[in-house]
Amino acid sequence: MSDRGAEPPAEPTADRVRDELAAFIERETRSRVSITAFTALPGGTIRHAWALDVEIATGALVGRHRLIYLLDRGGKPLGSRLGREDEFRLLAAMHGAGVRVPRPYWQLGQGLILERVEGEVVGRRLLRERAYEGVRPRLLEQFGAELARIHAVPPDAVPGLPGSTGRGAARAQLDEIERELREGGEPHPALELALRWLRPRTPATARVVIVHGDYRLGNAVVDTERGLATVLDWELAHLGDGGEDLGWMCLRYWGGVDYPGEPTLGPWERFLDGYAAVSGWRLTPELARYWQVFAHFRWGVIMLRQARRHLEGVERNIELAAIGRRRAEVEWDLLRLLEEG
Amino acid sequence: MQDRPTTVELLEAVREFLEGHVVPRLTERGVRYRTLIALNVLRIVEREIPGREARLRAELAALADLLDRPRDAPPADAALLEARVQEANRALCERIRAGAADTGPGRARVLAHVGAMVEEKLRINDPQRLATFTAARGRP
Repeated sequence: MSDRGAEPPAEPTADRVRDELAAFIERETRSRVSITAFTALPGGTIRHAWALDVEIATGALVGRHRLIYLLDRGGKPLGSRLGREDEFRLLAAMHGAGVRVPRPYWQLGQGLILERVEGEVVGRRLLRERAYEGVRPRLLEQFGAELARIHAVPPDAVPGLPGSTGRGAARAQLDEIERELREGGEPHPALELALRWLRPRTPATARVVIVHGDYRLGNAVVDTERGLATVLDWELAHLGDGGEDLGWMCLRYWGGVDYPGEPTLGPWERFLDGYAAVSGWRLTPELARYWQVFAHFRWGVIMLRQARRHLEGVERNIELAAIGRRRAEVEWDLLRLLEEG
Repeated sequence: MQDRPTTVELLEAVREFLEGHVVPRLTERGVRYRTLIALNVLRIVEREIPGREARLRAELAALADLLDRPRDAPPADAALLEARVQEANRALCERIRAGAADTGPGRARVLAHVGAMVEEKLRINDPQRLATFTAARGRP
């Protein structure tokens, strides 16, 4: 597949984006607006990101606002991602329910304007820098507790979310990842072994929740005082069995939970404890094992998809290409889990 | 036969130039980060080229044993060899789907083979990480 499709869209220039944003916010607030600071942030592979400080002269939002503008990069969006409108409504619902998320301000085309919460996101720095020493010991518990608050938001609070409801939700979640594995068409024995293990063990879903879909170290802002400050990256959210979010955190890849010889924030159990303290519910050992294996299987398949994004020319990107070769790490851990039975 | 530098020596030269003269001058965080990733990709290729075909032949032979197929002479052409390994892995996946690795000695054999292949991929892609993994595995 060498079809690169259309030429990638030109990178938006900072000046143009800044002018567009100022004009948009003026229209929305019917006020004079000045952007007092504007910087491009190292965005992810999916989105551009800019930090901006805005002075609104009059009206309901009068005053200074620290914002972030997230804009989708070009290329076909990933199949399972939320549309910007749904993501906006989801953030609004979570914010309304008291979940730590950035307050959503406006949706602008394929972009979102959100409250900018200061702090550190990158796991590596959270683990090493002295400034976070104080909050590190309780971070996993906070992650668990916050996830319980997310899962407590009723699924119908955000109509139209993708995903599955009912007792077959976990099965549908597995079906979805299997479908994606088949789409790639390549043989992957390690992933095949995982799928074969998962099938007969798929639990009946007791309670359907709003699954964040990418809940982990690296997708949350951490503050030196408060610890977990805000949960980011909601674009993979869907309805389903909440075990998916609980398992996702256990992946070594995020650097959040301890593996033998690689201590980080603490054991995965501490995260589960934090969740149980708020929700009153804990994964049984069987379910814990299931969602651990599921997490490795899902991440392995998503990595395949990310490498394909590069290979098929949807987005030529060295990071995506390199991810194709990091999949072996995930297969390693996956096989250790399968060997244990 | 091509003149020296060899393929690997050329890759090495490019990587050393980038590491020594380009990376130190990169100030933009995002570009610097992606350049370091690119350098790491070059390292992967440097490790992958030596012995690549021998590894593919060994994988094909191991797969033939696992699938109870005769060990035919492997094709000399590299692309053909790769296609044969791919085909054998496809057959292995079908066996796994059919339940051949669900329990007992069948499971042990498949797990051992797949584990060895994952280890081999890691040895090329990230030997340092592999060392960390195996050291931890040896721990009680």
